[in-house]
Amino acid sequence: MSNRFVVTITHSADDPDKATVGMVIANAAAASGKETLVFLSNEGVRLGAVGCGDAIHQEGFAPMTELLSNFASNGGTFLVCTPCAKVRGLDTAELVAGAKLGGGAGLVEFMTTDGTAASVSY
Amino acid sequence: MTTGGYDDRPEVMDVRGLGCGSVLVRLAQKRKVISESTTILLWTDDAGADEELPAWCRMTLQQFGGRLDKVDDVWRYELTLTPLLAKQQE
Repeated sequence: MSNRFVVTITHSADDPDKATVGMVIANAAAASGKETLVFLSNEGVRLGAVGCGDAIHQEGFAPMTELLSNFASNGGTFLVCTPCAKVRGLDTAELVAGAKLGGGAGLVEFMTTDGTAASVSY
Repeated sequence: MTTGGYDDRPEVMDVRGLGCGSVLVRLAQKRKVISESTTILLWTDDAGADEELPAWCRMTLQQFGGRLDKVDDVWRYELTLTPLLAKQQE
């Protein structure tokens, strides 16, 4: 069984449903002992900046702030697409717990080192 | 600890109202705070629990004791959890 799992999230407040379900899956993976990476790209980068996900609370699911903090406390990490953040003028001075700026190389390395990683995209 | 005593009753974890991933997060958190193998009685109203709980147990090598019963819209499952040591959490 592969031990690495990747969730790519391309939405935030523009599609809170997709952003939320993506984080729920990421939480399930981290809570199941998977080394889990959430790659935040496109509009999803906003989730990586402190405070930006605060207003997201999709009906039927835990609020985004809780999903983000639970994920980090279970060892999950975020890779925030640097050019996606830059083109949106997103302030990345303060990132959520477990997040760092990066890009395609970091994602590909994670997915191809120590076996292969399963992945889903939202 | 002797068997059959009050302290040996399975501990109840009431996760009613929580869906899907949130239940698994609670179970993972529980494994971090127990110091020995612990049997719990999980109360859930998540209709996906029949699939989710055994899958989580297989991935994390926990013991799935099965679904015991259903009272109103609440299912009760038995799970035996082992501690998740700090080293494994890194």
